[in-house]
Amino acid sequence: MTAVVHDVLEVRAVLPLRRQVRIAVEEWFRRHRVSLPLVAVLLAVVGTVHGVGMSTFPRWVDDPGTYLSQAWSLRYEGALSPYSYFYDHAPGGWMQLAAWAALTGGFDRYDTAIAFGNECMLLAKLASAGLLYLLGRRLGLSRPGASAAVLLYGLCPLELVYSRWTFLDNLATPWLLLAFVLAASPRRSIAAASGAAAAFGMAALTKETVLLLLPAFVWALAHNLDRRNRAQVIAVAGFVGLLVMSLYPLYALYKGELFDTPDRNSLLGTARWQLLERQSTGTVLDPDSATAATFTQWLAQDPILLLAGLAAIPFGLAVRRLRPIAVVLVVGWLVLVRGGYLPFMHVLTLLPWSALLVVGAVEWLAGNRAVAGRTGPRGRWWTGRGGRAVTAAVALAGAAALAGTLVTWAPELRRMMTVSEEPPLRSATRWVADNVPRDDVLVVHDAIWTDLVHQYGFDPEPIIVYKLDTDPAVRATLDRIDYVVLPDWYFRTPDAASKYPTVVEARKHAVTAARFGSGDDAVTVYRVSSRWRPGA
Amino acid sequence: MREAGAGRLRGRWAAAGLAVALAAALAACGTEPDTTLRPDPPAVTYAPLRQPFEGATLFLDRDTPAARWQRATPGSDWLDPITTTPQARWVNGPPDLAPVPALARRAARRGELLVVVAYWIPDRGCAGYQEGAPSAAAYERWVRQLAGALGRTPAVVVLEPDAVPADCFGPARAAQLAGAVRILSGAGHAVYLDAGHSAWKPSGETADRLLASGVAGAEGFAVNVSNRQPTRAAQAWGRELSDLVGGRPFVVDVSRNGLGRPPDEPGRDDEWCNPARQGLGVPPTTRTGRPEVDALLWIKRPGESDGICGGEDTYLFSPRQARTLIANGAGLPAAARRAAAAADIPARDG
Repeated sequence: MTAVVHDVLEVRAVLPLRRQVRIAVEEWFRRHRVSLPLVAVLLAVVGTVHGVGMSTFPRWVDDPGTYLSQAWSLRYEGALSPYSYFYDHAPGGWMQLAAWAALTGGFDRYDTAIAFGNECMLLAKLASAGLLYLLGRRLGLSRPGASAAVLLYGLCPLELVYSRWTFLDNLATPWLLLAFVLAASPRRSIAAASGAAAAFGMAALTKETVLLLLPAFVWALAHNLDRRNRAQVIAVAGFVGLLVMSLYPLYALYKGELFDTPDRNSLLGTARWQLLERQSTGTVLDPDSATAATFTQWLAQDPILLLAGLAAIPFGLAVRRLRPIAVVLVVGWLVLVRGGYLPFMHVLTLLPWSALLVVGAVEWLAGNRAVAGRTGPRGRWWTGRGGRAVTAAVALAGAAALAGTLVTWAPELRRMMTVSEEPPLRSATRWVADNVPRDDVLVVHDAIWTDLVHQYGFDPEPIIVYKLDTDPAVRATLDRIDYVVLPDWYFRTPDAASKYPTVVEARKHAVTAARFGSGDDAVTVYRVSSRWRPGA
Repeated sequence: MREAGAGRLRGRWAAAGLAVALAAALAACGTEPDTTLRPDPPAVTYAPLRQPFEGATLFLDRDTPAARWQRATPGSDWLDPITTTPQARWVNGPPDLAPVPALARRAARRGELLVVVAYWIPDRGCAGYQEGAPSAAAYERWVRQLAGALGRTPAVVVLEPDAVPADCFGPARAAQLAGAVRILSGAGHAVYLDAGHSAWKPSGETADRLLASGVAGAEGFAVNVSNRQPTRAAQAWGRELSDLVGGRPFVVDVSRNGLGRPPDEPGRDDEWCNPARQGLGVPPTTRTGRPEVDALLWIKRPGESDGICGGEDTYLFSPRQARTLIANGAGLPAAARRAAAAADIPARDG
């Protein structure tokens, strides 16, 4: 048998390269002739639900605007940020946005940068969904099971809200999934392991919090080691991973900004702030904490996938092949309990793995040998007629649960796909473009900065509101403010006066020039009195 | 064979490279920013200015409590700095309407500009309708009566002190004020909506409130009425506010701000009410030298009590307070100040 295969390979080696490639491609298609159309359909469904209505839902928030302005700055100014880069996040994420923008003219194809960000998120979502299927299969899930995981992940309303926002986490997810896919490579080659390490490194460069998942990843890699090349794999993959991840501190070191020095932005200084000094949002176990409030918001959006994932953790820990996935979730949930600063998009770290683990647990219960390995419940009995009945029953129950879940989600998904009113910040941008001279000084919300600069040529560049009080370079040159464009909730935060003193003061000297939307999301364009001077 | 394959491959790489370069070039020639302005039609249309103070002489009212007291009190010439200075006439409700037609006729005969204060907005003290008109309809009727009482000669109306900055300001009050502005402006009078003062609400919030209250149809707004902020601060605040409401001009009440605002006293929030230290401000003038400032006026009548506080037990004219104001008066001749300081005020019922 081995000899034959050997011969075939040798025969192939003498064929022209073109035929070699064609044969390889044909073989690949033949091998995946069921999965390919299946995945294509899944991606079409997930992509449609994600893409339809993404320009009007959810509302525009801060972070996407920040990242897109930084991607814009990289693309057009060759800088990591239009302001002093202060190592708030590793720059890998917006480098990818900038690269895609440079390749495809992204900032020119849409009339808002947010729409370009939405496109990037759609692509990331498709990549994640495809990789999730692949990872599911590599963990031993059946095709229906892997498909179910993709649907749970792709159609969960909670996931949809957060994955439509241009967050770095959404760009890190495909890299992270790719890392686990390669770590679970059946070939167990040095190349696969190195690729896995490199992908994990990319994930960490995209969103540094991924580093928390390093133990889970190492476990996944260690799980799949082959006795024959173990030493080489560890050495090479370890080196590759370290090399990729060290790009970030090396960059900082090169700029002289690695170590914490007073009056200078530095990687370690910001890291210290993020990890130790940033105001804690408390633990989820304290019902009065901000973390608990965030968690409640998640559950209000949709509790099913999140809680099912939590419930599946014990099963995941019990089953050898699912254990690294379960560890990812354990780490993710521990972050909620720990009581530091919890970013509200942390849920993005939980959901894809929850989908995998939930389906994994169901398949294990149904007696899928590939998942269960030797740990299948009730041992040999499983293979008997009774076992088959149980398998059928569990599979049926699982399918019914999936169908029920999708039906439960449908109304919410429909709402998210059919919001028709334009985001108030977008309307405000239009008004500003039509009514405000380009040399006026504007203080604006993050989400519209790039449009004002790129689409409408405001010069001097508008000032992103929080930079007004945090960036010394902005403060030093600020001698007037003509307009302020912000959502109302900015001024309703209880500590607004201490967080954004300058803009709160400016508003006291400003009249409402135009208003868009309603409620907390309403956006007001304020015209500041020309008689008022900031810092006066 | 290998050679040929490699050659083809090189060709393909070259083609791919060309395609990438083309894509990059396409991407590089980005769209030009759109810098054309397409202004919306203005959301607010401002009425043309009447400029009532231009070349006007302010009306001197001889029928004030201070003047009556002076006539009844021998040896009270020291009160002249107050009784010979033009001041506004307050119309605080229906009973005050009766003398207005005669007053307006007198001013018209003399060719002088009458300044009245309309002060009867519903819920005037924000204390649940204990003061002011009992309803919006009653208020509107009253404003119409006031417009009628003022007659055909244009007067200046300072509209509703404290109504705009007050905590109970809302859409209902804004509508009442806007209605009053319409009625009085429509009758030919120049309306100045009271805006509060520099140490109360910020200019931005005040501007929004003034716009909601119809300042666009009024002549302008009034600053510092019955308050004692220094003229400089009042004007700076007023100019900022003016810039926010389409450049509408304003008048400043300088009747009692000669010593500036009374110092804050811990544990008290009525330091402003009949303070022990206060002085007359500069005399009223219609020539201010500043385009946004139409006039410096004496709107609050000096010597009349702010209320039952600060040692006063009356809302009426208080000679003791008038004496303090003159003795500390800004820009008064030293003799006048000395005369007031030395004045002997007879006991009220003696």
